Amino acid sequence: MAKKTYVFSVIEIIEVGIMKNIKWKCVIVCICYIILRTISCYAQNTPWHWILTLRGDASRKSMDMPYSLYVDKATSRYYVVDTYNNRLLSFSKKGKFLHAFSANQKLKLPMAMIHDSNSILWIVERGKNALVKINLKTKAINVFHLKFHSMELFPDRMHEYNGIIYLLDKMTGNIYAFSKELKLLHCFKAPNSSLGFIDFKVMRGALWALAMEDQSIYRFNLNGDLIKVIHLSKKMEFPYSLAIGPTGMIYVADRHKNCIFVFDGSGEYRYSFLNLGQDRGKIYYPSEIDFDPWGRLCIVEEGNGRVEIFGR
Amino acid sequence: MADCMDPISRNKHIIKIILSIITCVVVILYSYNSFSYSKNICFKCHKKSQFAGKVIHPPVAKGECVVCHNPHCSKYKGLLRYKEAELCYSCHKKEKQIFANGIEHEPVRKGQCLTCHNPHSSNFSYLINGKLSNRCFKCHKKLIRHFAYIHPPFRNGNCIACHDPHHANNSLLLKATADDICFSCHKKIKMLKVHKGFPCNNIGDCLSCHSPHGSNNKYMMRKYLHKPYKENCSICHKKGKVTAEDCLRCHKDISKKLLSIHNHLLGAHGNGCIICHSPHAGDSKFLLRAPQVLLCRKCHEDTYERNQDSLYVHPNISNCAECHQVHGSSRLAMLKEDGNKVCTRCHETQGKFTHPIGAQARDPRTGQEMTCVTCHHPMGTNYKYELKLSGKEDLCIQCHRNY
Repeated sequence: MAKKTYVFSVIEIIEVGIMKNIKWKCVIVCICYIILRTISCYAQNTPWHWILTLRGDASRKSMDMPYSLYVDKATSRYYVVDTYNNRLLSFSKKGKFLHAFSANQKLKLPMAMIHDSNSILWIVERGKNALVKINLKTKAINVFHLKFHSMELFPDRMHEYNGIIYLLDKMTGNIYAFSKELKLLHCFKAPNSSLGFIDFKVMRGALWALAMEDQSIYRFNLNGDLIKVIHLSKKMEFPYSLAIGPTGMIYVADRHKNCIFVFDGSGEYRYSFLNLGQDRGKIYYPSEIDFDPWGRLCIVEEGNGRVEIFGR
Repeated sequence: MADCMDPISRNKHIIKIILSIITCVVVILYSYNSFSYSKNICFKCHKKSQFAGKVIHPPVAKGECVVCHNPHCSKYKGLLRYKEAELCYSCHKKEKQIFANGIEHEPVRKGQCLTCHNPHSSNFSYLINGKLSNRCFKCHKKLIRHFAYIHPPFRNGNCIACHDPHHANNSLLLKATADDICFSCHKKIKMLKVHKGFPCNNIGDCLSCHSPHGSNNKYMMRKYLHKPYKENCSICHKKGKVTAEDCLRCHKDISKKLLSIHNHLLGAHGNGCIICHSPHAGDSKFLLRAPQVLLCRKCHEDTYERNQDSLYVHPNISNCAECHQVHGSSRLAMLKEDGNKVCTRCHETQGKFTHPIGAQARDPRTGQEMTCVTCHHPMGTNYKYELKLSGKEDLCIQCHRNY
């Protein structure tokens, strides 16, 4: 009898709670609340999980040294810059391969791209050391060799924000903002780092740039004024790319350690996840990380020739 | 308070006090006995004269051998209580914290304090194992020591005048930036007088012309001079800053290499060339600022440490440019060629007869071409043949899952 008193099945508890005693109702609600709360907390702390992988084209030609990713929110498409294969690959939001574009095999080591609303592709081509403008409607191709104070620029990474093109120059480590007419608007410099920046992102009215040398994030307003320097509290081996999460968390890809470090907005280390490998959910020589418009973390892997997309 | 207690509680209180006193006395007696034990017993066999010197480690001087040694048994050499550095840091706690920051000297990083220090006694300060310079040159054998003109601190073996023997925030374990060290003895005002016509009337980057140890040239000028430097400074120094573009105007072969996916254009406010190369003079033909491995280590400290900490490493790895294209490459890790060609230049047999590699053999996990570096990591691993995982099984089943 004593056993029966203390050992309840879940159904019995529910029956008792709902049908017989109001006290039990409260107990069940409390237990459910605690369980759900625990699950949600656990989910927040759990490292990201793999969702899908973008790799190669339909003819199974795999990517070779992909360098960057561009996500077009309007068309819900991913564009991967497949650098060594001299082409751009597009994928649907679900990861289905759509097209490969090589501008009639005229692309020479593309490094970054933008697809603007006027059907114009802007491509940084390392092989020509130029910014190339391709009008997809007229098929016109214009090649621009950029200069700043008569010094030739060496464009590397590129992003677009509110119709402005932002370019990272490898020659100086500075970031330059250009209008679509390629008129220089602003310059973003790292005052404390002699090597300059290695990556940057533009979002929410600010430019965030990563300096490898002093392992810091520099936050600028879009006029080029330095607002804040965030020193990252955890020492990394080779910080190479950064992304700013939807909640303001800072994500940094360590190219040599093959993992992602996560910091809060003030630069305090929170956790790191992923490690070296070729299997799904592992990374090898990450070259760029970024969040897509749906809050998923995309990691371009040069070593594994793919883009892995992670969600919570 | 005691007056308020009943007799039983009072007795209990007194007993507690007596027990505490007895415990203290026992502990003190035990410690005294163990030290006196070592004082009296250890030196019966281990001659005290062996531990004599101008500087004696305080525990030795006090005869407290048991601070470091267990007289009965230990799993560490010399019956040490703990592993070498662990034992040292149990007293030298402050040093442990200080050394953890910045670049550590190799023996410090490996916890090998006894490489330089004698734990018992020495005739040299800081318990150094012999004369400081002799100690340094025991490892740094390749350093050239005989020049026509020698820098006095180097001649006197005073390496620590410029270098920190434990750790530093500057490469080459320099105590401060090279210029700061130079100007701490060679006053800047005086130097300006003898360097007339220096750009912007501001001198600096001393090591771009002078060798800090010595040279066979007057004023300790480095061996190889940059052609424009020898002929006319204004060839490079026209107006404003000399940029990488200025360098590449002559070094056209390098500018082609920079048009690769990865290159070593390192920002540096417009001239990444001078991070590795001296624009004026150097001790090597390519006017490198330091021997190559040290130069690469300046930025790739993590790779160097991984290499040093690995059980199995590729031999003769000090020449980075043997496998890596140092200016620019479109292959992974800036290799000279793909992961097969770069290895089979030397490993000819493996290039012909091995696990399938090349364009026809694809890694089932990624679809990427199988290359030597798919399984091997030449910078070093803890597995034989620099394999990424154990070659017995673990590595193979990464792809061959059904076996």
